[in-house]
Amino acid sequence: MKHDCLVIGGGLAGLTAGIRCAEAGLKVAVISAGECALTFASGSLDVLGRVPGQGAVRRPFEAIDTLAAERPEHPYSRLGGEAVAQAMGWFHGQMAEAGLALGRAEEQGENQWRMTAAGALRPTYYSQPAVQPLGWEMFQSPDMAPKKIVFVNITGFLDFMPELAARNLKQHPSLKEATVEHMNITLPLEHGHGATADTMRAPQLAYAMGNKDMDILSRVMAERIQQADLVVLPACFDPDLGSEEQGSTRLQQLRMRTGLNIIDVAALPPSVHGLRMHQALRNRFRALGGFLVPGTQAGHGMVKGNRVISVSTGEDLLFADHFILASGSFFSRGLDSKKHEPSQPCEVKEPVFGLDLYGLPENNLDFSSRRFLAAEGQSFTRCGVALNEQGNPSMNGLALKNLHVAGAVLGGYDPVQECSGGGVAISTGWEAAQQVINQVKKESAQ
Amino acid sequence: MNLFNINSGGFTSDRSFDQCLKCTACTSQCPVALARPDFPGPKQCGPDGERLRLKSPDFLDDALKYCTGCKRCEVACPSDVRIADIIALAKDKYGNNSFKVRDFVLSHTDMMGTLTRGTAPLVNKLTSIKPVKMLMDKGLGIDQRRTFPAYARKSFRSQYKSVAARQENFVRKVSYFHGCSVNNNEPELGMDLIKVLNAMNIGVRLMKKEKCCGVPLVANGFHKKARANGELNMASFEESLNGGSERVVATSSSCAWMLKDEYPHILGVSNENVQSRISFITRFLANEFKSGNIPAMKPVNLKVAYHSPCHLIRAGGVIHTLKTLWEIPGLELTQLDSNCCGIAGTYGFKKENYETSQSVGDKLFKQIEASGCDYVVTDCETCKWQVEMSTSKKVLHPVTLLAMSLA
Repeated sequence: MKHDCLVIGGGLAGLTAGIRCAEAGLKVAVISAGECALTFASGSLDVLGRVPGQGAVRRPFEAIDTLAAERPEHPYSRLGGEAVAQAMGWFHGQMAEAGLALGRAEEQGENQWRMTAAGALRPTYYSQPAVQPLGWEMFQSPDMAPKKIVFVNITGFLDFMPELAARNLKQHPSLKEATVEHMNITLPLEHGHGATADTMRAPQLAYAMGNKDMDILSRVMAERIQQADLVVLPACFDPDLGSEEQGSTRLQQLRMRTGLNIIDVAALPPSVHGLRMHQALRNRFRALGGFLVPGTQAGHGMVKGNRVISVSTGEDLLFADHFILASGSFFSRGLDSKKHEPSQPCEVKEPVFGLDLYGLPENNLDFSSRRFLAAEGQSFTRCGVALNEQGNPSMNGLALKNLHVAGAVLGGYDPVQECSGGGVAISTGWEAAQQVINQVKKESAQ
Repeated sequence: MNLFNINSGGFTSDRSFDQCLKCTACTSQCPVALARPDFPGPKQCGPDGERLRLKSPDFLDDALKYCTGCKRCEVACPSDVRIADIIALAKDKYGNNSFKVRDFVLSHTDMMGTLTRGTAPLVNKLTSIKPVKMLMDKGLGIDQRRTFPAYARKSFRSQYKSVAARQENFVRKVSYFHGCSVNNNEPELGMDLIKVLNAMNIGVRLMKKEKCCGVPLVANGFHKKARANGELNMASFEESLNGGSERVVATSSSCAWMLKDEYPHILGVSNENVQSRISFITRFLANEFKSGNIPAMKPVNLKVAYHSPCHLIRAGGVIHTLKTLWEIPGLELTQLDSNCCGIAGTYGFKKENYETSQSVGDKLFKQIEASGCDYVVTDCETCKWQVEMSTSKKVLHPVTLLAMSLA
């Protein structure tokens, strides 16, 4: 049986597109190979956090419209702020259906601030459930900023560094006067089979902790922390969805039992928050009747005229009426770069179709900066698939009518520098699905 | 000692570990590492450990034995590192392969089938009574809480004799690798396959001789025996394919993966002459359906939940089973979230692994109970045993479901 739509890529963009198609009643399958970038993500969703040269963005959807005028190649430019806002609102509803209640700033359409495991503050749009957002008021007057912040780690856990985080946080202009402390709490790790926290990654730690550990954690925190505005723990609680609605997540219990304002922030990957969001996406997609096909690497696309006919996987061909490419960036192998000669610019390709790309390097010096977090960003992150005005990709200048592209494989934006990865994945996935839905409607009317 | 001597002692080492970026995605998806954190996980046991083991076998970590070989790490890896293979090869090369009666009994599946032939009802009775289970537990280390798959009264090969002659009347013929479980435990599945393929005008032949594919042997350290079986199987396949069979099909997803994709690099058994003509059954069926060869079917009116076996996911074969199931009229199909059932072949039968096995499967069992399905559908016999023992649901093979729907 032929699919209405085959989505290549099972990450945030691909599953968003899949959910939207399935919701519209289309027969849709998502193929994927390798874990997606959510495994390495904070679990917060950025829309637009910074505009180069202008600093932090407070109202992202308005900023998108300004950005569109200056940067026509940006994926947001074709959509506009209103469509992106609509996509984000829709996504919020989908996640709520799956049992993941994302939090946003109190003021509609505003960014909030999230804390990183290294103690930096970054503007973001949606945060994980039970994380109280840090608002903008802390910048208005020092009185509004938290005065005492305590970082707490599980003794031995290496992927969260409270000492470093505390030192970094003090650098923040609004938090110069704040007291920032850190402490370790030693836990027996009830389900750890004798293993210690120093050998565990965050998801393992989450499964190793039992009720006994929660008792100790809440007792010690209540004893040792008096009157903190904010207590920060590494995200190693509640690895599974499902307990959220009963108000009985471990984090919520810790809050109730200690009376403290506790948040958990994503530690070094793999990220419990990101994995949980991935689970919510998969559950929602399956609940709407979509089919997930993991372990399936897309090989080459077969194109006839201006239409994609099939995509190969191993020895087989997968046919569909419409295709959505959401294969990710270089790390996810949605883009491929090879350096042949040191003096020559590296060759960058979109490996499935060989689509036309934006931002190809003219020389290797321009393609990457030696400074990892260079202010101007890294050029290679802006390299990716270019779309025409109708939103279609092209092969050697020929636009492909039934192929749509979403997420990090797209060119023209820098998710790291702009804090825009989540919003671009969701809004372009949503838009790609909408294009498919419109075409299916049109075809069935004919 | 030459640190870069990769082919020392006649063993090959998988150098794909060089591609490991240390992202740890594999560990986040390892069912064992999440169920018992004293297992260091695939990254450390695989690519990290391999670097050390190449320097000295003394770096062998005993924890390797907790790896179930489910291959979810390889599915998770964004960089194509063959993590589970690295671990499997290291077990062979450096592991303590001292002989264990228990592991011999569990892994020599075809031999056990032959030995119990004729006494199946007695054996089934014995292995289901408490004192015997306790003896096997204490004496052998086979967990007494486990339900044993029953042996069939009459093997598939002898049941096949009644339909063998008819198969030659079909113009198109395939050869069927039935594997140990169909021959000894579940001959009905083999007979269902014959019904389905015959309804599609395809005859089913058996190989003159076939042996266990080797999956349980490799998992229990009997690589030499697995290699010998592999050589025999590949010779049989070649003979069948030269003798008028279009393809060799298998109904066990793990057997198919081993025969088609693992023989050369895990066992050093060449399958290049036949490789492209070995198919897991749903791949064969999906391709036939696509070209219009669909048997006449009636609505089954059933609600089923599909569980994809780990090795089928690794083989990229889930899509074929879905395509096959989509063709069955009156089937309400939902897909369970991809979670390992925990049995991992012989792994869950071992006393020391029982709790890990059940704890790994827990997420899947809960989903199944909550699904409200009439049946669970899966492609793997050991998943079937595990799910039937651990939930209230019966489990069907996709081929059985197809046979039920034949008009």
